[in-house]
Amino acid sequence: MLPTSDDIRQLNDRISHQAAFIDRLRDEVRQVIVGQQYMLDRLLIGLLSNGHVLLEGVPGLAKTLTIKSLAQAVHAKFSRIQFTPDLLPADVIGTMIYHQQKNEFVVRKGPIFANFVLADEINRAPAKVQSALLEAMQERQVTIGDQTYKLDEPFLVLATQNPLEQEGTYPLPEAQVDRFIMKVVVGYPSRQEEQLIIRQQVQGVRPPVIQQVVSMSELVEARDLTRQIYMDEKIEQYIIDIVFATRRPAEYGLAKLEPLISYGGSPRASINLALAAKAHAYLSKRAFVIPEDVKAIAKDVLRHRVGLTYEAEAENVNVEQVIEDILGAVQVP
Amino acid sequence: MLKKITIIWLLVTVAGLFSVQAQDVRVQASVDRNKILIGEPIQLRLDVEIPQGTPMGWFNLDTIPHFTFITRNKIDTQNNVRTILFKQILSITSFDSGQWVIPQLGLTVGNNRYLTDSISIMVDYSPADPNQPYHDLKDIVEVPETDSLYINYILVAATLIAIALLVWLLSRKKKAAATPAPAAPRLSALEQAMKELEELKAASSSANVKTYFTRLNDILRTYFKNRNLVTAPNAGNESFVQKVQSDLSRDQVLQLAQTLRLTDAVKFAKYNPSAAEQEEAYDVIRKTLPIIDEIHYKNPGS
Repeated sequence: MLPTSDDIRQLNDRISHQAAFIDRLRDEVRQVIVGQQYMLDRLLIGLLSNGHVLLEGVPGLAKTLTIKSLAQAVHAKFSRIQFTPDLLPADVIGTMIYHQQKNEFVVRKGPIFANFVLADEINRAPAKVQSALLEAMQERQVTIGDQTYKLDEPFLVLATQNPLEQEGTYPLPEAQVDRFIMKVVVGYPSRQEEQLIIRQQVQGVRPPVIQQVVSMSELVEARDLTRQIYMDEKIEQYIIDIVFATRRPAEYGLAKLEPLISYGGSPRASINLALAAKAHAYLSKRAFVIPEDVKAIAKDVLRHRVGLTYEAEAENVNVEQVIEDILGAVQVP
Repeated sequence: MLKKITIIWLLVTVAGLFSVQAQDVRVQASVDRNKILIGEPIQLRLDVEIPQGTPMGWFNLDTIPHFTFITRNKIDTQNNVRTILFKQILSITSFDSGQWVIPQLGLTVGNNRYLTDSISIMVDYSPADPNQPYHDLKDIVEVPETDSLYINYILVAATLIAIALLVWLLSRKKKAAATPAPAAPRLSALEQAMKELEELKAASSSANVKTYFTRLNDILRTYFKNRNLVTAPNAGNESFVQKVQSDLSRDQVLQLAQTLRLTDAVKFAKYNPSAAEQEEAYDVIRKTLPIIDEIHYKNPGS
């Protein structure tokens, strides 16, 4: 049944009240992280929309610290897996070990059994390990021996990859990258932020300990509310228009993009765009989605789902520019 | 005495036999020429003649210093009455200039080892006389064109036709322009917006509230687009507020933001505004646009 105007108003009141933890969370993480508000918001969107996030950025941009701080603020179980070429699937999901006293094999669960899993430099491990992780991400369960184990909820994988050193890496195939709701490009801090970072680090003051400011139950409730956020049919049409424009740009007056795009966004792109837009609306403490929500997350959701041709590469056109053009051409409702 | 004579006779006979056999073995290496330029081929011919049935091992020819093998032909045999003749032709060359020697090549026949003669080869550069004058590359030779004359005629004809066509088209356009069309009054962005607002107000009683607010929002968007304040059509309400934030007073910004939030709520959240809210939203847009226009464009007609 479609929500009425009163339902949306009531939901708005609930969200305004319930989403207060977002400010507490931001304030807490800001104690140790200077800047990177954009990255933190994207991580929260991933958390609220129950989607995994791929972070791309050069080393030293506080990716790991941000994720760790977020996990501490939520008081969730956090584990970090450093992906290396010699990593094995069992190192991620766990394995059976022989227990001498019991004279039997027992399960030793891997680091994937956590609420926040940081897969650092995911493209450094071979395809076998990547597949094991990505399968667990999709199924939210792991099979060790003949036993299947459900992963803890919330379960959020935050993977990082370094865009610079590509030698000896195993780039994630398109089908697997598609499983991340967003691919966030982490940028450098501003001059002022960098100055603050230097001061904090040079003074040698011990960083404050992150306090738990949100409970797991609050987080689960927030997710439920995010799902309930109202999305008007016009917004749905807007999302479809954007995704279709990545597939058939000429129909949206973007014939110049036709030779530059090799493949457009899949239906999963539309679904994730809608989910992330709802989460963005939640962060704004709003019970309905507006076009700005869609536009705000469009690049992060579509960046890894739109393939460019060699012609685009030859003309130095990147996927951001293509999405920018599409957002500029599609009529806002 | 007779015994001594017998022994001497036997020795002479055996030595004679051996000498006959040694004379039957012939080992020879020869070349077709002793002087080559770098890279030129030389035919190295190996001839071996041995008595029938004598065991023999062929030359071991892996490499010859300063020389390179080009081809190795198969060993040719020729059976004579008492002897057998072996023959092989090898094609070799050298890429090192200088006086080189094909060394003695060894061969074992029966229990004896035989050697060929060594052969001296002179490998030289191609002859060049530095005293001779240098010649430049030859200039491009002009070839008289025979067909170009016709092409010129065709080009001239095509140009004349094109000019005639252009003159005809221009004269037609002028004729069309000469007929006076009713001049549409050109409205400025603000005038256009105000006109549309008036039309909206006139139709407000019959219009559905969602359509009304959508239209109100569109009027604002069209104004911003026509004034190049934002890149429409991708602009959203937040970008409108951001764009004029510094131009308006705090209250005006707040009012505009609230109105646009109301517009969003009506358009995307099924919000049903009261008549007073509807009237207020209209008034805010009606009053804000002239202020923006005044700040950005002193001359509204520009």
